Amino acid sequence: MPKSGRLPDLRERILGQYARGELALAEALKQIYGEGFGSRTSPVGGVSEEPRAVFPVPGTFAARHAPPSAAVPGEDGADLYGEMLQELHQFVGLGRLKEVIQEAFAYAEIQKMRQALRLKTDAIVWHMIFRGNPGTGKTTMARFLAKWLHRFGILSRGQLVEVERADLVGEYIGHTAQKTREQVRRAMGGVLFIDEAYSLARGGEKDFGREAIDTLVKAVEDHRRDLVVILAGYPREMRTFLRLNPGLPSRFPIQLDFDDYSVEELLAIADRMAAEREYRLSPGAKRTLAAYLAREAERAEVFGNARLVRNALEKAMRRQARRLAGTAGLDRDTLMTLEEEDFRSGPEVAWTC
Amino acid sequence: MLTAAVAGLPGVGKTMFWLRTGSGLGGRFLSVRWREPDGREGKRRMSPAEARCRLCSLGRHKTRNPQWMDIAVRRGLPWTKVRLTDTAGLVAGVHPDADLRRGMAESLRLLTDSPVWFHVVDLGRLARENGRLHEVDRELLRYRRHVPHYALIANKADLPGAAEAAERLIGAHPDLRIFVVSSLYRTGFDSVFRWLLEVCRRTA
Ligand SMILES: Nc1nc2c(ncn2[C@@H]2O[C@H](COP(=O)(O)OP(=O)(O)OP(=O)(O)O)[C@@H](O)[C@H]2O)c(=O)[nH]1
Ligand SMILES: Nc1ncnc2c1ncn2[C@@H]1O[C@H](COP(=O)(O)OP(=O)(O)OP(=O)(O)O)[C@@H](O)[C@H]1O
Ligand SMILES: [Mg+2]
Ligand SMILES: [Mg+2]
Repeated sequence: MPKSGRLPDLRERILGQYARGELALAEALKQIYGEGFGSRTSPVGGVSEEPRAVFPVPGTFAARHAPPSAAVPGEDGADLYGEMLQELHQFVGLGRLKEVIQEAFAYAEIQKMRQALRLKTDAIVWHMIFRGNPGTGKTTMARFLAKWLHRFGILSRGQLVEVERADLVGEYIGHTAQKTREQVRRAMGGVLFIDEAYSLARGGEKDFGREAIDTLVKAVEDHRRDLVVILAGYPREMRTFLRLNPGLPSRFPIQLDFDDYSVEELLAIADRMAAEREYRLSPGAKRTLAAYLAREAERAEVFGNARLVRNALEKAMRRQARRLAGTAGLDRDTLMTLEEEDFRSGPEVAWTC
Repeated sequence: MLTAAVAGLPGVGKTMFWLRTGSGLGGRFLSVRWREPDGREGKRRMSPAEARCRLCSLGRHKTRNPQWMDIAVRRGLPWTKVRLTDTAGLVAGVHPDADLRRGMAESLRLLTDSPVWFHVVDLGRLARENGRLHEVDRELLRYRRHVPHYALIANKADLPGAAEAAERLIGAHPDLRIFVVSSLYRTGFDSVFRWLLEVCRRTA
């Protein structure tokens, strides 16, 4: 019954290469079937590459003029603001986003000072929307915010509660509201992080996801203090989701875009990740990784971002182990260094060099 | 036995379409099978509701490996056995997750072995993209002449903008067999069943 144009063992070889990531879909199909028939699938009614939406960040925190040095000593006498900034700038790239976060914290800090002098103050609504592709650091940033909002005294506990649709949506009427409220309760004093938030609205009219959204909206209204809700997801889907739920944007005034990283930024992330694990990359290793990342970036669609780097790094660590195992008297330097060959292709490696 | 396989991008509703088709042709319970990593066949009997709960999800890549059900189609004579196969969603590039890539390769194997394809596209997505088919869909369509019985399933007909998107799709592909369905609300399946039964009859 095989309908593929090629002999079975040849097909096996092609499928093997596809599984190892050496071939993308188009190439695999082409090799299995031979040349395709030019399909008449030209775009209907004009191609329109939607521009990357950059949502205006509400001017609420135009605290740009508050100099970063306007630090107040925290309860423990530490320069909290400075410490937070330092940690924030450990994130590679994400320039615009860091600015917004810096402004928001600056504003909060100034409000605290004003309060001390009995001047009028304005509470910040910290509910947020994160838009970014996988592995662009959304979860990491949420964890950062939970920690620092706690240290700034804005959240009482600072825990991060990560949930997805299944944690919020139930199976019968009333079940969803109950489940959602339960998660809100767990997150009180901290951050409720809802990944792939649009999945709540995808099931159509009769879907209980609606109920979860309504319950959440009520929760963010009721708990303007001591709870931060973050809706996160891929940019395109988030845009549609917000368009279909016009009540949401105003309730989530801080909207952050996690842009895809450039190859240079990814290399910097690789350096940081390696350092965290007490490894470092030899110059040759960096070159090989850079070439790999550049190639992946070209293929775009599933460019894995920071996650891609982490996978490559972890694979290299395993290959280094295999290379070195059995050698006696290895020094610290050798054990710490990932070499070019550790990043090269091999049986279990997902790319060819 | 006739095999019919479901193909398409992640999250377009392949699994839900597959379950609807399976429960429409088969009995009250579905016998879902898959291949375990050690090569043995796994199997689980489920009600359609349980299957939907377990096997469909809102994210992408819920289905990481192919799964199938064998159905004895008893309408009309002669009886035929149909193996309905659900596959992992395909992406255009090289996916960074090695396990998922293996699942996709396995899916591609079953697809290339199957004379009947249900190529599922999401009308909601199509509407958002101004009718422009995704690269993966264009790639699959390119090889449709190698597949004896190829049907394009325009799914999620219930979404806003879906009707216009379906119209444009049909207009742009007069040579293609297109069924407009909503797997969620189970509309449009009658003609799918009729076509599949006709294919059964012809291949029996
Ligand atoms: N509105 C609407 N949603 C649908 C329809 N069919 C499926 N869905 C939804 O689309 C989402 C994905 O459905 P699945 O059947 O899991 O999709 P899939 O193509 O198998 O996805 P993967 O296994 O991840 O590749 C689910 O949330 C379904 O509820 C439909 O006809 N209409
Ligand atoms: N800007 C950055 N600087 C340094 N490391 C980063 C940066 N962004 C991400 N990372 C690292 O990349 C990894 C993946 O990030 P994370 O899990 O936060 O991504 P994500 O956006 O939540 O992805 P997903 O949406 O797929 O869950 C983490 O190990 C994180 O430490
Ligand atoms: Mg995450
Ligand atoms: Mg599926």
